[in-house]
This record gives sequence, C-alpha cells and structure tokens, in this order.
Amino acid sequence: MKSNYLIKLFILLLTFGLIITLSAQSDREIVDKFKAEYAAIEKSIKDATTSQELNLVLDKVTILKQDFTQHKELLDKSLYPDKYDESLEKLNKAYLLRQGDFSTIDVLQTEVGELKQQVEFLNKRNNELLVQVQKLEAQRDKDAKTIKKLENLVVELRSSIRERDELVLSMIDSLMPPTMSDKESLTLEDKNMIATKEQKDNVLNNVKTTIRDNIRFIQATSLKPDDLKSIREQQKDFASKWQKVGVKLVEVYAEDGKKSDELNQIDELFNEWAAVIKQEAWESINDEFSLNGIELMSFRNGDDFTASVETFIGDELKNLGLKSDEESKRIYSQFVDSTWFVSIQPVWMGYLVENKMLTDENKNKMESKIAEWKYALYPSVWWFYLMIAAVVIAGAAIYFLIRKKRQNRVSE
Amino acid sequence: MKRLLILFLFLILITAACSVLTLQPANFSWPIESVLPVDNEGKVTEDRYSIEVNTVGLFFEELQDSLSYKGKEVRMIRDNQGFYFLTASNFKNVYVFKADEGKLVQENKIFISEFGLQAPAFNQRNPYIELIDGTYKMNLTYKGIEGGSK
Repeated sequence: MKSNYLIKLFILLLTFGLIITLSAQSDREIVDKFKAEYAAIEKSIKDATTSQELNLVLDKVTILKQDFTQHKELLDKSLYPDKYDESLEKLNKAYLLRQGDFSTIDVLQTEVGELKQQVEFLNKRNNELLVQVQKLEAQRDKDAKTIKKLENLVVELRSSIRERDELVLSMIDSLMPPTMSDKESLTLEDKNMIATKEQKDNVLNNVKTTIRDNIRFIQATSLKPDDLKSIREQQKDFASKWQKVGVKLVEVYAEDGKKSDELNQIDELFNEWAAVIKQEAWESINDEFSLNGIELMSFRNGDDFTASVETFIGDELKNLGLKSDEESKRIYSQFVDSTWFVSIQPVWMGYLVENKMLTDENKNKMESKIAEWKYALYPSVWWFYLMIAAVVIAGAAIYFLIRKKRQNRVSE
Repeated sequence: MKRLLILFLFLILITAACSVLTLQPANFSWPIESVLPVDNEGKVTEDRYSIEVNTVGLFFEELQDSLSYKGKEVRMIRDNQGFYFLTASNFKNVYVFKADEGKLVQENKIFISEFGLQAPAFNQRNPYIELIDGTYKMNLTYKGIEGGSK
C-alpha cells in the first residue's frame, strides 16, 4: 500500500519535471515579465501614500531580484538602455527618494503638531488680552495708571499677535513645502501627501483666526504711524504668502463644494484687514483730536479729513464774537498747539503723505485755514510798531537837528 | 619562364588592388525576438533596431490572402550572421531573409508544421535561433532545422 503510494508520487514528480523540461520558455516572455513587474513596483513606489505602504514595496523588490537574477545575462542584453543591475539600482533610488519624501513629511507633520499647540495657546492668550484692551479702551475717564496699563497691554498683545502670525506662517510653510508650492497644480498624490486628518479642520481656521484677530486688535487700539507701518508690512507679508499657497491649501484642506466659499471668505478677510489698517490711521487721528476735546466730523480719507478740519475752523471763525474771546482762544490752543503741532503735523503728516492718503494740496489747504484762524484770533499789530518806530526816528531826527543848530550858534 | 613570372606578379598586384575591405568577425544577433504588430498598411516597425518593413508579401506567401495581415503580430529575430527570421501564429513556415538595398530578400523558407504554429517564439541561442511553440522547440539556422525535438 505504502509502496503504491510512493510509486504514484514518483510518477507524478517525474511527469511534472518532464513538463517543466519540455515546456520551453520564450526569452521575450521572461523579459516582458520582468518589465511588467518592474513597472508595477515603480508605480507602487510612486503611488505609496504612507511609509507603511512604501515598506511593502521593498519586499516586492526583493522578490523581483530573487526571481530574475538567474536571467541576468538575458536581461543585461535585452533591457535597453539600462541593464539589469542599473534597472534595480534605479528602483532602489526611487524607493529611497520616496522614503525621503515621507521622512520630510513626518518631520513637517511633527513640526505642524507642535506649532498647532503653540498657536492654540496664543489664540487663547490673544483673545484674553484683546478683551482686556477693549475694556480699558471703553473706560471714558482714564487715569494715568489705567493709560499705562493699557499701553503695556497693547504692547504685549501686539507682540503676542505677531508671534502667533509667524507661527501660522511657519505652519503654512510646513504644510506646503517649497517643492509643492512651486508646482503649478497639485496631483491627487501630492494632495494626499500634504493632507492629514488632524490638520484638516485646523489650517484654514488658523489663517482666518489670525486675520480676524489682527483686525480686532487694530479696531480695539489706537495706533501710531510706526505701529501701522509695521502692521502694514506684516499684512503684506501674510497676503503675499497666502497668494502663493492659498489656493493650493484650500484645494487640499477645504471640503469639496466649499472650496470656492473658503477662498472667497479668506480673500475678503484679507481685504478687510488691509482696509482696517488704512482706516485705522484716520481713526487714530480722530482719537488725537478727541483726546484734546476737539470733535471733528468723521472722516475716512484725505479729502474728508481736509473738509472736516476746514469745517471745524470755519465754524470757529463764524462763532468769533459769539463765544468769549477766552473760549475761542482755548479751543484754538487745544486744536493747534496741543494737537496739530504736537501729533498731527510731526507724527502723522509724513505717514499720510508717504502712503498717498493725503495730497500736498490738502495739507496746504488745512495749513492756510489754520493761519487764517490764528490771524482772526491774534490780529497782527505790525502797523502800530511801525508808527512807534516812525515817531522814534522822527524824534531822534528833531533832536539831532536842534542840537546841531545850537552848536552852530555857539561857534558863531 | 620569365614571362610567366611577370604575369604571375601582375596577377597578384591586380588581385591585391581589387580586394574589398572586410571587418570581421561581426555579430548581428538580437538578444531577444521582437514581437511587432502589423499596422493597417501591413508594415511592422522595430524602434530599437530602426527597422521598418512591409509584410504584406509575407502574409500573402504564407496564407494566400493579401489582407490576412490585419490585426496580426509578426515575430522577428536576427541571427549572428545577420539573417532575419520571421514567423507568426498559424504560419507553417519560418521565413529567413537577408538584408539588401532597401529590402529584405528571402534566403530560405523553413517548413515547420503542417498544422501551423500556435504560439511561436524565437530565442537567440548563438549560433542558432531557437524556435519554440508550446513544448516543441528546435534550432534553426538560415539553412534550415538543425536537430531539436518536434
């Protein structure tokens, strides 16, 4: 029974061996099979979206080597332009290159994770600071202590907002490495590589929060030209970075169907930010006047500002004589001496002209109106001094004339 | 005798002057066969070796049908001596050609099977060309079959 079984097994093996020996294989078939497997591995390397997927490719490369090393001579002759070893070398290089991509992405994702925590912390802190600043700003009567506290808070808030902005920019950089941002459009594979679930809800919201906080900060505080200059620069930096990678980030992180809404929303926020910076200069100038008890008509541009100043002075000129002289001079002093020559002309005028928010013509109009006001309040008395001078000269002349005549008489 | 010697020397000189420059040995063999689809005009093109040849005559010779090339593939290989071996599925013969000016000229037609080849393939086995068809295989030269099993 056992010997029967062994004979059958022997015959089976013999037949199998004979079939293998007899069935001849085409060299072309071997080469084609190698090429097909090679191409499949190449595709797997390219299509891998995680490092785990990529690691599986390594096994396929090993199997390919095992299967085809015996045909090396044939493949060396048949593969063109690369030979067998060069082909495998190419495959290894492609694998290592892709592995490098994943390592870079892992590093960037870790970076993003850390940045995300810091940004969240700063978002919270900025929010608290903004609330405090708004409360202090809202107080009508501020004592020196409150003003100092407010100033310190504003400085702290500005630096904190700036720090957060920089973190968000770094986050954008990490999410969209230069190799990706320089591409005209992203492939599906690029998108998969960049996108991770945990960042999905975060990156666009962070950009929006950053812009909104900057807007709130500007609205809550009264800023000087130097601050505005630096905020304007910051806004430009952020906007240019967004212009470069924004569309791609939205493409990757926004939900399907909401992409265009997201993009419009962020673009509008950028426009609002730029407009608020522009408007802030006028509001700060208005605040300067208000602090000195001067209430001007509201203005949003250079022409409005000029008209507002001219109207105010025009009204004061009309009221000369109706108001007491003392009151008129007090208002003049508050306007001109305490505001115009202290903060408007030395601090703001350069900024306004430099940023083309005010023309030279507007500036001259306001200055001549102020001169007119001064003249009306303090009329010039040059003719009186002239008369005194004439009397003194005439007196001296008469004196010398009389003296000369006397001297002549004595000598005669 | 003297005249004979002069004539002999003269002939040697003439022969030397007329001899053609020959570079040898040369090996023309392709490492593997090319499987070439026949286009609508009956042409096949091998890009790697820059060969383009019209196969309408080949199909007519084999199948007696001038349109039978449509949708077919030709298997082609070159041996070390420079002869081209061509066949295709359902062919009973392997055709051997040699290159000439702007054409391939038939050198031999090797009969293989009355029933036609099912899935023929050529392998380069210097100095032979191995023809396989399923389990059958045989060695060919431009002169014909050189042993092998059938």
